[in-house]
Order: sequence, then structure tokens, then C-alpha cells
Amino acid sequence: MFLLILRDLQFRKWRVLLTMLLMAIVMTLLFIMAGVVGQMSGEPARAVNQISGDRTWVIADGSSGPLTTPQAVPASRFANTKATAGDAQLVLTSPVAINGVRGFLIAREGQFDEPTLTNGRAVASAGEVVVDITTELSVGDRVDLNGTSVEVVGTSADTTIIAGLPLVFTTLAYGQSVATAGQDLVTAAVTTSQPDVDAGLKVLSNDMVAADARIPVEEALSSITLINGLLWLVTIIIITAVIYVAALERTRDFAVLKAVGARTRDLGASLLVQGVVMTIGAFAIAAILQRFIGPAFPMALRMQGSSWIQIFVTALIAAALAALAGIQRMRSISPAEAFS
Amino acid sequence: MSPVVEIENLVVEFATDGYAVRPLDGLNMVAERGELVGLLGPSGSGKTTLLSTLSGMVKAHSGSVTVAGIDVLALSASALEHYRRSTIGIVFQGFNLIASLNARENVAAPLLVAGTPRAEALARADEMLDAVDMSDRGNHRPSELSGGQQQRVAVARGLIGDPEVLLADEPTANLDHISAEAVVELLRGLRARGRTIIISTHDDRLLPAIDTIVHMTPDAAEATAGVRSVHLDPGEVLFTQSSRSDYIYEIVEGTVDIVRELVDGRDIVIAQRSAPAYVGELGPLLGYPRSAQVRAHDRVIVQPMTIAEYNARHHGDGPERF
Repeated sequence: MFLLILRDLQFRKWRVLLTMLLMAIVMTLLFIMAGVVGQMSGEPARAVNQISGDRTWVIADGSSGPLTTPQAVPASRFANTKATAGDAQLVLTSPVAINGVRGFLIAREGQFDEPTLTNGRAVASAGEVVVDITTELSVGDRVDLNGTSVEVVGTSADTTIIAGLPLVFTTLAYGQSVATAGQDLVTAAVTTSQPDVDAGLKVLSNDMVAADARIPVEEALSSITLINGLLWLVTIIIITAVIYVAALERTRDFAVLKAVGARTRDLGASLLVQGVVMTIGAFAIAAILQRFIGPAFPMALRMQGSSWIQIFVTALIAAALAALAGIQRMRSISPAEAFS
Repeated sequence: MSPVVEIENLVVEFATDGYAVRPLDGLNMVAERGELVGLLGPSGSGKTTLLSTLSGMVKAHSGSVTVAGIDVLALSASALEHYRRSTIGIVFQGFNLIASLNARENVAAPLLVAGTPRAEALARADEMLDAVDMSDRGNHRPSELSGGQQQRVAVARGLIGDPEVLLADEPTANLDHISAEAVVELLRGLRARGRTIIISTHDDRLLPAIDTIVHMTPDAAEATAGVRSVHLDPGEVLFTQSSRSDYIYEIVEGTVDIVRELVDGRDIVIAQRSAPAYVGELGPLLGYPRSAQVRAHDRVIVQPMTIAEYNARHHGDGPERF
């Protein structure tokens, strides 16, 4: 039976190749969508980890989170927090323009252990910044930060929020000079211990801060999920159409094979195998295509290992579903048609 | 020794536009080992239906079909698959080779679908191609073979399982006399080796090779010229559906109902003809069984006539003449 499957695929090789190419293009889009989802859904947690490590946040009651709705309050409001949690550091978070492009400022007092640098060194003094690598800035570049010239002393990775907004790290005092006109205002305190908080303040875990930062992209993620569903539908339609048309064209062949004793289940399995072979071929082509298309995509893509498995398994299930239409058609063919 | 093929009172019924059509109606037939049986009859007389029934592809309405001791009509779907793989070989009209396979693989197909290892199946196919003098064309696809070559490949495919019974549907149709002769030689060789062969054909070239001829149209008395008036009472049947056509009838007096049997067993009047008119003209000429029953609606007088009498009466009348 394997020989019959192989020969039929060879006989229809151009159609099979065209089908695999069409499916591969759709699967490449699925890979890219999975990369976008992987990037956007994991981005807040990675960014928060790079900002504060394993610390707890204290913010003003009126804010939903320091990365989405930062509410600047006098630093004195955190006096009790600093007193009870010895390692508490004040932080100012604020939207900022870097070389005229939107970014997000993280200004923190004290020593910086975070973020992990990909190049350069940590911020040591006023007028220095560490920026995310997606800004494509290099160590030593001088850039405009809210109208003030600063020097890039380091670069970091995984330090973007809200679908690619780059973080800019600097000292608290310098951050206040460019974002609050020098007023002693802060938006949060971070600490490794469990702080006491005064009225009007609240405590957020890293996870809560990350969850809050994910809210602005939830709609985009939902849209991508819908697009993914449509792409899978297109994949199923393509392979269903091809297998069904092949079954229609092979009516006489199936009738003859049944007439010479072929088992219906074996013929059904042959259609299933053809669908699976085309799907595996398309998956392989898509895996290669996404390697070329991914880097050209404007947004960083992050494919999880589980996403590969998920797409592969879903594709196989789609192929099986698609083959059902052809199998149903094949089952309806009477061997007596070979006599007609 | 019991016959290899034994058919008793076989009735196969189809539904066509709600009407019951019986291409086979009470057929009886036997075929012994090493016998070449020819099914003769016009198109639509049930030849292919009989082959389909013998191969278990068509369900019978009633009767029995026994092939090599197997009650074909009682087989389950999976048992039928096994029966077609192991007991019978089939040669289809129009070859029906699979376009994606070369000649060798087409011949091997019945073994491949039966799960025979590929090398073994292809080796056996080579032997069969050699037997039909096609060993030099084994790697050619059907589109690269002539009609005669395709038919020889089809015969080789039908024989590869070494079946006890070979069923061949018009095996020489569309073949030139050289190719047809080669096929006849193949069939004779098979018969000599004790295989039972049942072929449907209208090809006269095959007649000398056939041991037993089965006429697929029902027997009827030869139409005799000079028969005069027949009187029918209301409801009396002139002829029945599926019966052998003999006479053309002129309705001299009264009205007849033309009645067709429905799938559910009831019948329906599809037309009426009143004197003066003819009824039952086409069956005798074409050799078809009657397609409907004709019975008297009231008191009827009809005059039967042969085709010759009918033609004589309408000599020079144009389209009425057969």
C-alpha cells in the first residue's frame, strides 16, 4: 500500500508541492504569530524581572501598576516603608522620549544589580543611561532624553514593555531631573523584604506588576488568537480541498482497488497518510521560511518549544480532519463503478 | 464434481426514477472447472450486473450465487474483500489501469493491497507480464501503452492472484484483431489450466472459443407470422414487464394500460393507448426485454405481428418502418 501512496504522490507531484508551499506559507504566518504571542505574553514578566529582580513593589493606591499608570508622589510618602524595609529603593517610572521616540524611564536609587547587560556597564552617575537593545543604540552614543543629552553606557535585553516599548534605566536623581523637573517625586519603592505601608500605599508582587503590564496587550493577544484560528481554518481548507479533489479524481482508481480486494480502511489510511505527508512537508518548509522571515519582522519574536510542538500536533490533527472528507468520499465509492 | 459457479433463480433489482428495474430476473447458470462461459446479450441485458453480482459488488434481491463453494450473497463486507482478493480475478472493460502506476505495479496491485511483500508481488507481476508477452513494457505507465497492451496488462492483473474464477467484462472491446487474438489465446490458455472463465461480450470473434453461451435476454417463442386477433378482457395482461419481446401489437379495438412496477412492489399506469395504435414496438427490434407491462383497460382486440409484417405494412411510410 505504501508503494501506491508513493506513486500517487509522485504522479501528482506538482499539485502536492504547490499545496505544501501554500500550507507552508500559512504555517509560517502561524510561526510568526506564535513568536509574537510568545514575545508579548512573556514580555511583562521578563521586563519586571529585569527591573527589580525578586523584589516587592510599593505604589500609590490610585495606580494600577508602576509600568502602566505610574502615579508620582512625594518621596516622603515612602519614609515608613524605607524605615521598616531596610533595603527599600525608591523608583521613578515614567513615559519618556528618547531621541524623539517613545520609551519608558526606570530611575532607581542606589546600586543597580539589574538589568542584566548585553554590553557596556551599569549606570554609575547622572547623565548616563542603559537602554534596551531594540533601540539599536550602542555604548558611547549620546542621545536626547526628554530634551537632555545623555550617554548610553550599557545595553540590555528583555527590557521592553507593552509590545516593544524600550526601557531606559538611569539614576533616580537624574530621572527626576528629566521627568519631574527636579521635584523629589517617585512612583514606587522596591524591596526584598515585606514592608509596612502607610495609608494610601499598597503592595504589589512582581507577578502582579507583570500582570498589570500585560493588560494593554491583552486585546492584541486576543486578536492574534482569532487570526491564528483563521489561519488554521485556511490550512484545513487547503488540505481538505486537495485531498477531496484527489479522491474525486481517483474515483475509478478506488473502485478498481476495492474490486481487486483492497480494504476500505487501508484506502482510508492511504488518504490519511498522504495528508500527513503533505503536512509534515509543509511544516518543514515553514520551519525554514520562518528563519528567514522572522529576523525581518519588525518586532522581536519568541517561539516557545511548546509552540513548535503545538503547531506540529495541531497541523497533524488538521490533516486528519481534512482527510476525513476524502475518506468519506472514498467510502461512498462502490467497487461496481469499476465495471461502468 | 460440483460446478465452480452455480447461480439459482437470481434476481437483481435496481430503482430507476422510482421504478423497479430487474436486469436479472430469475437467472440460472452453472459453470464447471475449466469452462469458458460467454454472457451474450444486448446492452442493458444484465451482463455486467451479473459479473458485478458474481464479484460481490452488487446485492441480489433474491436467489443464490455460489462460487468455489462460497455463498457470495451471504458474505460480510470484510469477507467480500477477502473473497475478491483470493477467489476471483476481474478484467474490466476499458482496462481501468491505475494511471499513477506503471504496468508492473498495476499487475502487482491486487497482491500489494493484500499485504504481499513488495518484492514478492513485483516478482510475481514480472512473471505475469512475461506470460502476456509484456515483460519489455513493465516500466511504462498506462498512458504510454496501446489499447491492446493495456488490455493484456489488465488480464495479467486479473490473473496474478491465481484465481479460481476469472470474470472479464468485454475483454476484447475496442481491440484490433491482433490484440483481440492475443487476448483470446490468453483466455484459452487459462481454460486449459483448469480455470473457469466468465466473460461478457458482444464480440463474435470470441464465439468459437466459448464453451457455453448464456443468453441474457429471457427466452420466448419465436414470433410467427400470420397470427391473428387476440381478445383480452378488462385487466387481462398482454405481456409482462421484463419478459422477452416477441411481437409488435396493433390495437384494433379498446384501450390498454401501460403499467410499470414501482420499487415498493406496487405498480402505476404510466400511459394508455387506444385503438387504432401500436404497442410494444421497440422491444422486438432492439432485443430488449419488455420495459413495462401492458394490460387491457376494457375489452380489447389486438393483432400481433412480426417485425417483418410490421415493416411490410409500413413499407414506404418513412419513420414508422423499422
